[in-house]
Amino acid sequence: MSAFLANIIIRHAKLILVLFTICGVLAAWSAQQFKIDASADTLLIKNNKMFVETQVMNERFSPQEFILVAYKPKAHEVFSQQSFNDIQQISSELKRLPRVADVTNILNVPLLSLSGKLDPNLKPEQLTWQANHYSSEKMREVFTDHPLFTDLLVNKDQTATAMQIVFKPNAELRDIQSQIIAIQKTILDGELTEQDEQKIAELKKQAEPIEQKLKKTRQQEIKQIYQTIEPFKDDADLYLGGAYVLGQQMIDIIQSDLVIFGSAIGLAICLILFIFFRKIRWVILPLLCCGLSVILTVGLFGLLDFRATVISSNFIALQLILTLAVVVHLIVEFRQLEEQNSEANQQELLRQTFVNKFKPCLYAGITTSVGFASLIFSGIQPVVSFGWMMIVAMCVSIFSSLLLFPAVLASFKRKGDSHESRISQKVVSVLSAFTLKRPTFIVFISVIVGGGLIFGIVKLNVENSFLNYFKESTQVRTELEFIDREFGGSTPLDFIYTVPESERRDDLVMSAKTIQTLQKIQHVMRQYEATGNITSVVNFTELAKKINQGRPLTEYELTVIYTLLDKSLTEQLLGAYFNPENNQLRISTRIQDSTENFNRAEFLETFRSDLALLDIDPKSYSLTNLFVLYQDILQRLFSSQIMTLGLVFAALTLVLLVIFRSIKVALIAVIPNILTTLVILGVMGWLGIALDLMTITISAIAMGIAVDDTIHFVHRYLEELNRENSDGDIAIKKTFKSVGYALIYTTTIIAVGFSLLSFSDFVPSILFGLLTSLAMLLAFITDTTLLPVLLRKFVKPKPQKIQAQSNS
Amino acid sequence: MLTRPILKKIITGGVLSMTLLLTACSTNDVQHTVEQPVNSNVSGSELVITSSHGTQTIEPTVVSYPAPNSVQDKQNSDVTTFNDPLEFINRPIFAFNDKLFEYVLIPAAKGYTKVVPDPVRSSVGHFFSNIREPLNALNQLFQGEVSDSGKSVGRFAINSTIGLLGFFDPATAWFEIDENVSTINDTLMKYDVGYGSYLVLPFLGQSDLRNGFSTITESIFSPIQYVTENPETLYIQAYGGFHAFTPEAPTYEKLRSETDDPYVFFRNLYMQSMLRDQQYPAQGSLNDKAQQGNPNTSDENTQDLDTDVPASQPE
Repeated sequence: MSAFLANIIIRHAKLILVLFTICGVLAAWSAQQFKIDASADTLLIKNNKMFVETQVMNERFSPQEFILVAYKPKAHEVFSQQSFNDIQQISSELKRLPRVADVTNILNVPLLSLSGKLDPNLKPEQLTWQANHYSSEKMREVFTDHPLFTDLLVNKDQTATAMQIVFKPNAELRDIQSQIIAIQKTILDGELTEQDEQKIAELKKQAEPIEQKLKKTRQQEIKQIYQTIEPFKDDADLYLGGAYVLGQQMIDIIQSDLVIFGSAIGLAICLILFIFFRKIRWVILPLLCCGLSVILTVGLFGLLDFRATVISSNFIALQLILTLAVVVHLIVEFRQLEEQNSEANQQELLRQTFVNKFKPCLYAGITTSVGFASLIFSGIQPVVSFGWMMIVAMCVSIFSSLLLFPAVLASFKRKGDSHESRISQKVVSVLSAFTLKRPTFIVFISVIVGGGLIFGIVKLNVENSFLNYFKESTQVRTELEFIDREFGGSTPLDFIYTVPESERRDDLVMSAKTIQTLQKIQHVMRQYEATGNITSVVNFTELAKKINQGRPLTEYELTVIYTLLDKSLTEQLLGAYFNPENNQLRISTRIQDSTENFNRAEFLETFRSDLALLDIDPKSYSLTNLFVLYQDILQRLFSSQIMTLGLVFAALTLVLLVIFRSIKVALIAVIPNILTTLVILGVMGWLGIALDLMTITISAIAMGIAVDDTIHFVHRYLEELNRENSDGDIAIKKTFKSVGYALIYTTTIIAVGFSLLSFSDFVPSILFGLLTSLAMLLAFITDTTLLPVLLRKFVKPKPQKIQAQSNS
Repeated sequence: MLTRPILKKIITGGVLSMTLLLTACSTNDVQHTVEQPVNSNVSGSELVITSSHGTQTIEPTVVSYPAPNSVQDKQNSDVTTFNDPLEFINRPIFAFNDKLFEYVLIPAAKGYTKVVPDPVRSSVGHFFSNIREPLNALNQLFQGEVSDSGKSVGRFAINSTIGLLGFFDPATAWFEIDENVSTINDTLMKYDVGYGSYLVLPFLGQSDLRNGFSTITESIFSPIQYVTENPETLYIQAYGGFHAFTPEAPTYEKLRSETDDPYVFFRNLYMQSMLRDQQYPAQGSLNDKAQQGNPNTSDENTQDLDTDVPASQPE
């Protein structure tokens, strides 16, 4: 069967190459359609209730999109004429950006506490610095412990002030989104019908071009803001912050990483390939296979509208690793055949290589695919799509390497003998000798070290701090951290309180009981280390109390003020915190990502139990917005990873059983894979590396890498074992002498290549690089020590087996 | 001949006032036991919070003093409540006032604000404020606030002379002596006289027994009584009350339109504010300073919410 295939491929080599060229060009064209979608909703299960709820609340309270610009004077005071001039100039320049609705700063914000008395005929625009040019002293006094503006416009130490650039919402997009939300809302207490789903998909399609455009605009805006503040940097430090800036910085850094480290890793791989094989063709060929595989896959994804998310963004790296492994195995086999048969011509060598390697490569591809296929059952949308993507990628890789390798080489002439370098020969012989001589020691060490490391899994936890994605030494990190610490945090968290029936009163806008409840909650929230700025109607009542000579308002006075104030003014001041139609109140806060040793899950738990202590009915409130969403996704991912891990192991064993047709072999073969995967997780646990959105797929990756080595090794071992006059020792030695080289090469190439990522400024990239290298090394070590020991001990040649094998 | 009607009025007024005061004192005795703990014990006015941070207390920003017949907080015994034993007489008076406001005073007030220019109204305001400065001074004296009393005397002297009979307020503008209104109600409060119970006065609107006594007594001892004769005195005082009411007219109208039971709404508004003032005395003069520095807050624009309806205005 494989010989037949090999003949066809070699005979029609040119045709295959032409076909590949055409497919490559087509794929490259279709690859433009391929999209990387880093938005939060790609991370969710379809129709996630929490997400829908957040959307509904965001629509209800319509908090505005904003960017913060912090201004920290170097030699002068925050409250000084120079600062005021700078702020005014920067603000007026920023206001010229077309999408900017307003730039809120200390100069144009209404200083209600100066109004002296609670006056229903309030004219806020008359109570600003711009209208009155208050003295610096007065401004300092007003902003000291201001219920609304401390932490928002001026930091507590009064060393810096912030300008809040508020953007206009896109009316068209908002319209489409509210239509989507209107449909999705039904999920909160029911199911969506097929029709609904279709309608949503349709609306999303409409929204997409607008969103794309908006993304570009935002990118430009951030650049323009940086340009605007540049001239002021002589006298003051100016920092940008806020969720959008953070997102943008992340995209920027990922993109530059892709270019810099993509090429660096490529170069490193070329170099190592050349050092190992000393021939240009052995550099070009793997690169060709890898390049074409990736292009074809990306093209296919573009065609199928598969989108890469944060979770699946590693698929290119993974595909490169797996393709490279296949090609290196083929090269090593070819070179060894070349060495052994000095008379055979190129075609014969190729045919033999193909025949020898077709099965193990195919098997490796299948097992890896099965490993990833188990992700499909995780039930989490991005993980499911990652599984599908990897299956497609694996198929493409196996298909193109197995076709391209012989097809390309068929056009070359046989060219001199080649032999493995002395160092690798030495390594292989040492390893095989060690394995044969010290089986007990290996098992003992594996159990001790492996067991010890695996225990670290208990310490494994999930944390996702976007701030910590940036290396500490970077400028971006300094800026974002300053805003995070001094101006009220980064990741938004909303507490939505539905006023219980018993607290509602027809003649009151809000009862004192309700406000007091919120006040209590807010007081508790303020004391958490990680909460930044906290704002709700309570801050306004605090301000009112201050104006009212320190006396609390009565609930009736509050109602009077609310009724008498201009409707547009109440909407402007309170709209984001109070929704009378639904009797809902919102406490808005941002979590400080820079909080040290912050355990997010524990924080939410404490918060919930504190709410219970305050006698707040869990039914009357909900926690929404990005903080909870990310936490929810992470928790789900974490548990699904752990859950699917078992499934992966089971599926893997099954496939190995089908391939090797022996329970014993299958069980032995699965051990190194389990060990590698668990040790990687254990090491992360011991080192205190938390799983986050970027590293959560590491177990799947480790598995994918490990299983490749295992299949090749076991397959060759069984083959050698079942030859005539063979026993375990000979088979091990022979296997090492053939597959062993391929394992060393792939491990070195990938480990060195990916460890280059440790020079990145983006922490997830560093971790990904190092952990992948570690997985590679671990897989290599277990597959060359533990695996042979177990195989030699338990798998003996069987006469019937030989019979069966040769028959097939 | 002139003195007789004044004397007669003083006597009748005095009797009426005394009755009100006595009722106030007597009702206060009944309520005394209920209110006492709240007034003296500060902890009753704080919110107790138990959380992972331990047990803490904070002062509320919004408070409530429910009427006992309302459904809310009945079970909560440590909350100050108030009674409305005179509801049977208050409601008809309120209804009468309401109609009076609706058909007479509010339209009149609207016309008045439209026709009379701002500076004139402001001067009229100053005039009536100035006229009660001696009363302020006396009350402050009785409360033991000697320096405040001196200030009020000073203001009266300055504004009556340089301020052209009080039509202007150079005391505030040039001498930076702020007005500090003090009524008999404040004096009685100082001596721990209870408010008695809620009371709606015809024409004058909502009040309580103590404040009602204060209002009527002050109108009797108002300096206007000594410079003018009776029909004029009455007219001037009525005009003063009307003038004070005009800026509140739209407020009353708006609030009235938003509630189903305006009697309860205005009663609760009045009583809660009154009880709040009793529990939380105003703090310091920090805000006076703030007000001074703000050129946009003229006296005319600022309304104290406690006086939404001209209850404590002397007529």
